[in-house]
Amino acid sequence: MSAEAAVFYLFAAVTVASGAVVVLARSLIYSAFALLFTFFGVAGLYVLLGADFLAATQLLIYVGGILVLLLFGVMLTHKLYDLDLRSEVTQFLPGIIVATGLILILASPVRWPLDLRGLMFRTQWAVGAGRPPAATTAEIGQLFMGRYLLPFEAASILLLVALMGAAMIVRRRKDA
Amino acid sequence: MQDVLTSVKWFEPELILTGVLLLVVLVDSTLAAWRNVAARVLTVGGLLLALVRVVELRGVSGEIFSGMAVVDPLASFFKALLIGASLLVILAFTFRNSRELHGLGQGEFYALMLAVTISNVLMATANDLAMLYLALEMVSITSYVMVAYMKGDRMSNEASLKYILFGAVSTGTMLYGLSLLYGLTGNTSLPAIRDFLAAGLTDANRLAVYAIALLVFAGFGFKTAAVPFHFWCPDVYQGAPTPVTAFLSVAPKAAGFAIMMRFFYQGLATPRAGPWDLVGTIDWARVLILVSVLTMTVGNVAALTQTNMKRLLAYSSIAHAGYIMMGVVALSQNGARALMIYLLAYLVMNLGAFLVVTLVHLHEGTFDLRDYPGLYRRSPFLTLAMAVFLLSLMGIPPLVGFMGKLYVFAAIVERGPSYFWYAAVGAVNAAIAAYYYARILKTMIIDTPPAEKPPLRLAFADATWVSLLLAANVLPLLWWARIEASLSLYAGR
Repeated sequence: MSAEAAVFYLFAAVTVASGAVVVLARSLIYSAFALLFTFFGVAGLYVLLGADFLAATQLLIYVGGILVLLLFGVMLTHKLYDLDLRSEVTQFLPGIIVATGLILILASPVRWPLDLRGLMFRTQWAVGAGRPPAATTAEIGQLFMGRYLLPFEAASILLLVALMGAAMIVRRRKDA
Repeated sequence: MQDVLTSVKWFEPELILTGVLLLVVLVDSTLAAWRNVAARVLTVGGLLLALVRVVELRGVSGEIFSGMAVVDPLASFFKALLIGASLLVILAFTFRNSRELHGLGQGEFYALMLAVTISNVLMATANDLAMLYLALEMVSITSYVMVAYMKGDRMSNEASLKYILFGAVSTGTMLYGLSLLYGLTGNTSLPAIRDFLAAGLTDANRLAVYAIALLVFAGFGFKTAAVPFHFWCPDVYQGAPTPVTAFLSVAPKAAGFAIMMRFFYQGLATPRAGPWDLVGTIDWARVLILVSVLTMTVGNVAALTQTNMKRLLAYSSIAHAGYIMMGVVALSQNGARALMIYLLAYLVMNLGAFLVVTLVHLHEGTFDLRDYPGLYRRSPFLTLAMAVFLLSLMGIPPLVGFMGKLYVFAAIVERGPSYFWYAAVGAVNAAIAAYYYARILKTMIIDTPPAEKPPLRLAFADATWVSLLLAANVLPLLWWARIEASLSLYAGR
């Protein structure tokens, strides 16, 4: 195993394991802290892919902004802090069946005696030519102002609507 | 740079809507006494102006913004339909005639309507996976806010939360499918993906393409409320303010079908006269037929026992998504035209039914079918209108709903004998649907009310809009040949 692969598996393991804790933990505060490691692992994977700008924004926005806000929200809300999150109705068996089926279709490694490989191992993926650029920030900026101008501008409308919606839902009604 | 400048010219309808959206937000923040009227006038004016620009630009065809979006006859049709739907909802459903919205802030509502219209239009023109996903998410997020518009209302909040959870799972699934599609083809542009698939698939890649189709379909299914992605639909339709429900039942559904058409007709099919062939030797039609049959059957059977009108119409709208999908399965120019006719008919008949439900709620304060008896004597006009809308939803000639069903079934039968059973299932479903639509009519006309109540007096504006929608259900038949001919132009590539 090359060093790159080792680092990849390390970050992947951190992401998946902490992601499992986020879902399975009974206290919201444990979930929130586990989310920190999930974000960190994903940022590590971005670095490994050579996406330096994405990795930095992942840390800045998700870890620095969203997660801190989430923690404050949980810790300052008494009801949320003590809440037991276990759901009354859990479709445990159907869930396991569907998840196992999905994993087999996606990533089954079996190739003997029958070729039952999942699509991850079977498909001839498109491999790009060359290596990623050393620094991506300038490139991303140019793409946003060029080829991806429309999605970039449309996203600003989305942000405006999200802001408006959040303000509308949170604001107290005058007559209430 | 030149590309951006020419693109902007073809993008004017969307720019007008964006400009008006910003203006409405500004006007609303003045807190002046006239801000509600101004916001309404601006919104209606902006939508009208955008509609006019869309009609003027109907002849052009080509990619804009480096292939992110496309302007073509199909996109023009859907743009006009989607902007028209927003306009109709805003004009016919007002804050005055909706008991649920009465007294709530109006500026935000118009801003949200404009934003969701822009998003719908972007969805109908998307030509790139990035744009497709972003537009879909924009429509969803705006809709979540609109559903939660009645803040104090528990049902409205619950509906919005359910919508968000289902939406997050569906779009997440779709995004995973899109990422696999990018991994397979190395491209996000729909035409490039089509070329890749048209070149033929190796056996090794076939499984991936099947998985991608199913995953991506989760997103389309969510937007069009197709089974098995329909679970949010009844609760959201019931909890949302009725004008929002009416809007959600037509516009995002139409936008979902627009994107489905783009994906299957333009992304995956080779056009020619008569039925088209799908590229890549993968039988997508079989999956769509299964979904379509399930959608109409589940929708219709579940609607049989409903007594809440909003819930009943929610299940009915699920069933109609199943019929509309027949137009996608037909995969021919006639199929595309049938889908367009059905969507137009569905717009006027469904909005009409919801308008009557809203007006009954305004005067009676109830959505329960069990409170409808005696309505015939108290308001013959409203009952007559409801009868026409329901008969149209049933598909009774000579109303527009019948024309929609006729063309969709014809397009399916055209594909050959192996598709006959599919058309037959559709016909059986139409018969089941007739039962619950007729039950509403029976309740309104025949059933005796527990107590006599005074006649129900409609405001002039409300009566006008009901009449206009009524006319839209009946009169198109007079100019049918012209409508058919002009829609054929839009259905081509």
